[in-house]
Amino acid sequence: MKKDNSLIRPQRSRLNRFGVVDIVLSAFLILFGLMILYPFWNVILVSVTPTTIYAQHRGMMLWPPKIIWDAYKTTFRSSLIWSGYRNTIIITVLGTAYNMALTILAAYALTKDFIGNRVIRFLIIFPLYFSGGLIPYYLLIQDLKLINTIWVLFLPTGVNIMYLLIISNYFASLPDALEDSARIDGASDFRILFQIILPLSLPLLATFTLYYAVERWNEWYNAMLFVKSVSLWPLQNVLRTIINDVTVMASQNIPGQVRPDIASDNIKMSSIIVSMLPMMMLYPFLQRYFLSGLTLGAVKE
Amino acid sequence: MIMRNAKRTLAFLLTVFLLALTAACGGTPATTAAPETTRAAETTKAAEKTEAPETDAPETDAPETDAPETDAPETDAPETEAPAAGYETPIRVSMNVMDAEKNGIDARAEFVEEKFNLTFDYLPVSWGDWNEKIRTWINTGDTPDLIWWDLKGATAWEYQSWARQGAFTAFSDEDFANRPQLQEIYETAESIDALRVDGTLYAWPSLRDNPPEAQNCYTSNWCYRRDWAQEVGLYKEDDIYTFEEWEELIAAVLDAGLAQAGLVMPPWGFPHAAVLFISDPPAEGNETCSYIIDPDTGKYIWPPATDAYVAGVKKTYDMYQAGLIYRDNMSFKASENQDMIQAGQAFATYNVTGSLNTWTADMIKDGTIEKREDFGPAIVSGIDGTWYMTQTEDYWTVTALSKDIDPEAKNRVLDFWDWIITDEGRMVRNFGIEGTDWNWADNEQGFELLWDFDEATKDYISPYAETRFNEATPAENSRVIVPPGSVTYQYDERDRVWAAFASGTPKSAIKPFDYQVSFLSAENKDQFGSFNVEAKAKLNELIAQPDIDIEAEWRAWTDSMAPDVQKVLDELNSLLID
Amino acid sequence: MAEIQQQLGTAMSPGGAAAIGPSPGRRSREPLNWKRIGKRIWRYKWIYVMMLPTLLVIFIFRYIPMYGLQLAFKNYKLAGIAASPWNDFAHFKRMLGYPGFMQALQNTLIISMMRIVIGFPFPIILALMINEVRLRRSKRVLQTIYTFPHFLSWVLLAGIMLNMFGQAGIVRKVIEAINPAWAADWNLLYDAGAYRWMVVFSDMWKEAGWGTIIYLAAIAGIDEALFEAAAIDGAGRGQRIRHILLPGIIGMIAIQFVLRIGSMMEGGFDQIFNTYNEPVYRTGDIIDTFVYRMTFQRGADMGFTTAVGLFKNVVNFALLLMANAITRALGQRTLW
Repeated sequence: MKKDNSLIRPQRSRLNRFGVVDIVLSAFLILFGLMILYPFWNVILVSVTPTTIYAQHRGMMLWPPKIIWDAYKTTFRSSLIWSGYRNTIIITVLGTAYNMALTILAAYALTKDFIGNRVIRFLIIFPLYFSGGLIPYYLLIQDLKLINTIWVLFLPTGVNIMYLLIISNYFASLPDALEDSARIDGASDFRILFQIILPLSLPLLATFTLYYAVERWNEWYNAMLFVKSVSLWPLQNVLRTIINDVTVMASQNIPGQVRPDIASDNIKMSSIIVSMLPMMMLYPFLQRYFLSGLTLGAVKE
Repeated sequence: MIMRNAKRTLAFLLTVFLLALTAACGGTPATTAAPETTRAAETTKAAEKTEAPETDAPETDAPETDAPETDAPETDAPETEAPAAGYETPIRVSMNVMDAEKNGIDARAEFVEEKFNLTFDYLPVSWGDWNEKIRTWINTGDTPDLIWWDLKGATAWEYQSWARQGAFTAFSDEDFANRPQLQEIYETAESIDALRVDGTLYAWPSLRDNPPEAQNCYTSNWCYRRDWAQEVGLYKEDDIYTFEEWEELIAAVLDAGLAQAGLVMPPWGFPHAAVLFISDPPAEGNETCSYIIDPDTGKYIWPPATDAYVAGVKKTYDMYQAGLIYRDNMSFKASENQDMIQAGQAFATYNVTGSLNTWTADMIKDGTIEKREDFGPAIVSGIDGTWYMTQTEDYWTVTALSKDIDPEAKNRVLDFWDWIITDEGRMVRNFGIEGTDWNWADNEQGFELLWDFDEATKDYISPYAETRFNEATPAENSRVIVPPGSVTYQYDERDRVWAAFASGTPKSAIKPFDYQVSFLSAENKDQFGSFNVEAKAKLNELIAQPDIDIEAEWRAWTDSMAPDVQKVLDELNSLLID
Repeated sequence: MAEIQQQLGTAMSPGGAAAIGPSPGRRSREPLNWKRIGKRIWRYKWIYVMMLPTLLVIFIFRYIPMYGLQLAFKNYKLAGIAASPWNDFAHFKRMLGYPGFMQALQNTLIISMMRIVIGFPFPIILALMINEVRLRRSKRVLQTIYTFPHFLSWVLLAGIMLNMFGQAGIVRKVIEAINPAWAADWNLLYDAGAYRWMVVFSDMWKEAGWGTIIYLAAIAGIDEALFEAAAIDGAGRGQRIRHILLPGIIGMIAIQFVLRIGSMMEGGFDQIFNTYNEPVYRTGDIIDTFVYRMTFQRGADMGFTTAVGLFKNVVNFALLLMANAITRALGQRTLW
């Protein structure tokens, strides 16, 4: 069955008159966009402007009087950046696939009226609030022989419990008629999930793929604790030593030689841009899935 | 319809799959870093991995901060003779360090490896996670062989508690008997006693190695724009100012529109460096307050409640409200004070005497000043007319031995520590290999340096990364060996400051460090410390509010804290003064 | 038309949970019939298989370490958690004994409330607004731009805020041009009265775009046929929003809301820690930042942080149960 666009067109054209509401709406949305772009533009500026010149223009610069690329050169010359990229990409891809697989299967299962559903739901929500803390966790990771491996960077993440619950609720909200008719045709649970439920949930799946990917991409805590060799460091840990150390260091008086070189603002900003860019580029690919509508027409057939 | 949606699912899965593929091509190898049985083997592998990419990095000629680690190190280690007697078995020890990726991969490390048959496996820590990692490691028993950390009085109770529970291997008198360098420290360093737990030593201090006249104070003072002081006509000979003259000078510079900001401070020193650090009200080790003995009663008291401290608070308030202290200093998180000085926006900042060489070089490069002498240390007396320096611990970090360390490894490490502070050890640590990097010579410094010399900055270009066995060896922030021909500005200025301090004009005094108070562990003291976090917060809160009676507000606060403070004072008085 | 109405009733409103599908809460009141139970388990065998990996991971990584909770009531010793002595609630007493803790607790709750009242609806409204933009390309571009700040860390944004709102910042310059008197005692960053608003609005600025994604996804999940039908009926923009869009995403809103209530005790450590300063502690200091300051400099027993976490989460969990019950009573599909 093909979507009949003729039905939509009259509606679209009728509303195509640009009313007062549209003007206010556009004005607001554009203004909000500008409010976001300006500081963002500033970050880019700092990365390419000599620190002294930027300081003289504090927050008032629209275009740099002088552009330097030294910060990017320095950033990319660091071997850790490259191994960091490699590790982060592996973690993000494997981790996101693993997270999504576990989440989808469990989310679908939870929509069923099996015995023990309520208990299992409770057991899933409970650890969202109660955890044993660092020491038993560290000992567990140690016992599992995961210390200083790349696996420790995504295996323990399992599922994000909130995402699981949201997806499960969404699955449950889909019309049962679809599923029932498939079941009459003798489809198994797996087939129903993959052929009916998932295609109808694409926007949501894209959303949570993105959410998971960004989570995995930004992760540093497990690596900080459990990775003991810098060659296994994800990108975020490489960057944290550049950016955050400066802040912690400045909060206390540190005499002596441990005081590391303070990275200039250029380097800080350029490394931030370097770390964000891949994720921001992934975004438009997934965006199409949650900006366009779906048709649940099959129920009528 | 289902077909259509199924196609979209397929497209979606395909996108994900393609992304996966791209990634997989990029770096499958790393996923195979499977858990190994011995930690040593694991870290070796890691070390090899870090090494690899660095060697094939393009030869760069950029003289920036990250000096190419590629040139000299790998190839030429001249010392090729077999390890000395007693060092036949190779030893590997793990240790946590800063900049782990830069450590242990140059000619200096190779030299040590050959000389002592000793290899270090470096585990990374950074400022943000150092203490957290140490805590986790010790609490789970998964420590490196050498535990290097930033032990301060405020957390000394943890060290004492861990030592009592057997987390470390103790040091004994025999450990130092045949090691003259270590023996000297063991006998003379004040902190050795403070670091003993029930009479046994569990942590070895890395001394600050200050010149004797500094008496373990570090050179903390204001550095200011001399050229601006001259421009407003208030410059004082030898940079000596009374507090009133100093205030007048800041105001004049601001009025003349030379600077946007008067005083700017690093976040840890704000706003105490303006008045309290340099005046009578006691602040120990540049903490905002500590406990001191009242000379009249012989009992411990809490400084923030004293008249002198209140006067300091009032002065700070007035200066902040008058704009002499830069208002947004309150929001500084990192090196904003440095940025403002280098951009020529601020007049003076605190505690940079030890880095004057690089600061002034950058300021000249940016066109902020014309010559190095335009920015230098000021000698400012406190509001009570005396010039104060603050004493600290005599060490900057400590290293403890894991409870599981092999006795032979311990011996080897101590041999290494003993050697690294000999003259030869210092030269290797600072400059590299004799014959390749430097030679003994008959000049004032006693050696010549063979590194490339940059005529523009009057400095040598080091082929090594900045780190140099910093852990477990003394900091040389005062007895730095200056290579012949390089810039000596910061050392000259520091010596001048200390000479003035020793001369007694202006009148000078030291705020002493009290190991007993600092290292005491007791229930309330462990919980509250010296309330310095609270005192700092309160002072900041109050100075930002216009039109308040600052003295009354401050006294109201100290009164409100009195019950809790008294609990700690009672502990100190009963445990330290019997 | 009737058909469409019916569809509206089923497909459209996840809210009408009771009406559709198996409600997880339903229980049979009949006496136990083992044969039937066995049959039912067998019927759902694949469902159990599907859940197994997830439950296993949750069990291993979340439940096994849970024995560590007892540390909240113990003084940790290196000999191990089991061997550590009980301490008669010392950690909780210590926590409550700090001057400033109650203030931090109060601030946490107030800031969370403000975030929920002001911040929570914003992404929903924004998503509806974006959805009303009819030019496909500008819709995409705008929505992409809105997500940018999510990728910036608070460390960085704090610096940007200082540059914008500080003494030399653009905001003060603009205000100076309007009325120099206001700029003279410019104090915005250190004004305790303004700080909570700064927190709420800067967080909205940063996260609203990211938050719209999930609502846009929910909107995308609404059957297009409904819009077509509405268009035929001549429904206007307002009616469309009220009768199709809102009912279409109300389920998502409800569950997000319940989860949000269940994290009341989290005030947003990263944001506050990076943007606050001492003069605004009075209104801005939250439990997490407070505890961080107390333990960073002085160190703390491993049990102390466990105790603080436990305290926070018991409250959170209670709030979650409450919110869940209320949402359920309102007829929305809930967590369980």
